[in-house]
Amino acid sequence: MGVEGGANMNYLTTSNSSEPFTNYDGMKGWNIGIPIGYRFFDWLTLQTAPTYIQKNYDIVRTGFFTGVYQKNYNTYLSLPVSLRFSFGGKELRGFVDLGGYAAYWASGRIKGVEANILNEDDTAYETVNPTGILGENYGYSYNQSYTFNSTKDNRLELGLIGGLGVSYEFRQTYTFYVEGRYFRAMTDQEKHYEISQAPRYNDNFGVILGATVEVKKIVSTLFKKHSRS
Amino acid sequence: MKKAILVWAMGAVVLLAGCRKTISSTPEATSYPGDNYPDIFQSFWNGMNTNYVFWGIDTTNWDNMYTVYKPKFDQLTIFDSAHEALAEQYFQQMTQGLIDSHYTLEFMLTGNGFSPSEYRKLQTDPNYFTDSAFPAAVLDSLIPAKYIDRSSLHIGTDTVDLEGSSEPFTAVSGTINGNILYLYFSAFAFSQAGANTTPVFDYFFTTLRSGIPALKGIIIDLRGNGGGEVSDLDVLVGQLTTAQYTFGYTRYKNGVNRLDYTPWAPAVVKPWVGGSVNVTEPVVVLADHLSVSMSEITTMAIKNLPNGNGKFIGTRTWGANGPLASSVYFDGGQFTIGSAAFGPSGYMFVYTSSSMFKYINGDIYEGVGVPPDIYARETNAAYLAGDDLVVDAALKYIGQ
Repeated sequence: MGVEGGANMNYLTTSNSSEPFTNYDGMKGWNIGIPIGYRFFDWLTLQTAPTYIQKNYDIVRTGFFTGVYQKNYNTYLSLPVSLRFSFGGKELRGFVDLGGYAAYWASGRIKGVEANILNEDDTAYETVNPTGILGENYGYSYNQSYTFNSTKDNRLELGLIGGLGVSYEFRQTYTFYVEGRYFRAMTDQEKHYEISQAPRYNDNFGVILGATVEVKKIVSTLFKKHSRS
Repeated sequence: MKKAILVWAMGAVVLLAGCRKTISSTPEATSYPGDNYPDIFQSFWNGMNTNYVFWGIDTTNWDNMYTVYKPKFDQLTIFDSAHEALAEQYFQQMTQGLIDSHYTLEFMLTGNGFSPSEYRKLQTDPNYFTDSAFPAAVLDSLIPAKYIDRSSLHIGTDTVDLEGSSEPFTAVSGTINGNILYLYFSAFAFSQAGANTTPVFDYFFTTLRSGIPALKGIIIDLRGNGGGEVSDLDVLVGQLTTAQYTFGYTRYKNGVNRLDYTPWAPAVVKPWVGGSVNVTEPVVVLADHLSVSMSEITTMAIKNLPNGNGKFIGTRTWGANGPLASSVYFDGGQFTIGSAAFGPSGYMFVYTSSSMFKYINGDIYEGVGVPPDIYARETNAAYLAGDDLVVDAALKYIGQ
């Protein structure tokens, strides 16, 4: 077992073709987890890592509507289960992770600016061609907790994990690794509550640094020392 | 063993990778060809699904409308008058329960229109529009002749453009009993005031700023006012206060699914940039069942004046509170379908709010109207007897 953490880039994959001048952009986040594994063979480890992970994305309006946006900060408590296939030398090894995960959407925060229709810029009266919507309506800036809607929000996310990395094993007890990991949500972020609903999936790409210690070896070392004394 | 695990793992990946739903690209309602009835139905249904801003509170089962009416539109094979009559009937049936009280369907092939809120009001009360003497008769004769001090009377009518149609724009101002300031106007179109109505507004605002000795109150008469430009909120109410305040909230769509909304943004009145007065005397707003949209928003704004001196006297208003703008502004609201086949005006124009309004107390009056603080309604009998019962109620409240 050990500890791992890193940075990620999350994208919300959806359809917004009927929203003109609107982009869904990726956003950075971070994650931290506690990896626990059981090594069946040198080349195969079953592992899990209860993880706190952010899956953020940004809704950005463009053109005349530039300045209007909403950053969505979403926190998930994730429980991945994967198989690690290792290959290479004794100390420096490559590995591939394959598995799945279940995650609970624990909280959300939204931060943004929206044009406020009932807060007009009074001087726009005399402005012939405002250069943007925020020249007509004052923007309303917000930074608040996201209120979940039980009809709409699907707080249980299931998905796949794929990872590729290298590890360094020190004294056959300590392992340090760096990994590129992809979390692909297979479940919609929204419940199915209407016909013709546009699904929304998180796609999360991360770089993770981790360190583990082989508990079995530590215990047996301690046990040997204890026996000698 | 090694091979078996690898095969199993790869198989699981492939299996799960196929589990995502297809993300189809739903086009804007305006992008459909619209050259046949099934296509028009699809674009209308999708346009409503995406652009209608009240799905969070409207009880209409829109999925059920798809199930019931799609087969009916599939039966309409050609454009002719019989099929068109059926199509319009179906669209009306689909929308007659919608709470958006701005909502109107305009059928461009026939020139017909349909307003669900008007339909429901007439179902409830066939005399909804005819049993009131207001506004024309009362304003043409009663108020100027009986209530307004003759020396202060200012009255005028211009023609203004309200959403593409020319409308008469009438305004009346003056004092009552020398110490109450009165203003009536038929629509929110201050920026279009012409030679005849500008002096009416100038008198009201100049008198407001210069002060009336022993001013006892202000009456703003919005009865029969069909609404208009949002910018007039600060021009009018913003001159009655020197402090910015919040009187409600608006929210918009921010996604293509029905329940994708922005947070609530405060609806504010700001002191007018041209000057304002800290009015402490009672400000009475008169509104009625024919007060719509901006006149309802203004009524709620006056009720919440910071000095607590606003009062609404009249009857429950129409119930169209969600402000409108072009759909591109707020990712929701009005849209046209069938433009590719029928030209820029399309087959049908769907007039609907861009935003949902919530009053400061948390109530949403869309579809139900703003209730008065003090009920008063003009009647034909009172009019013929030379009385405006609503102005009388206002004068009584102010203490005349």
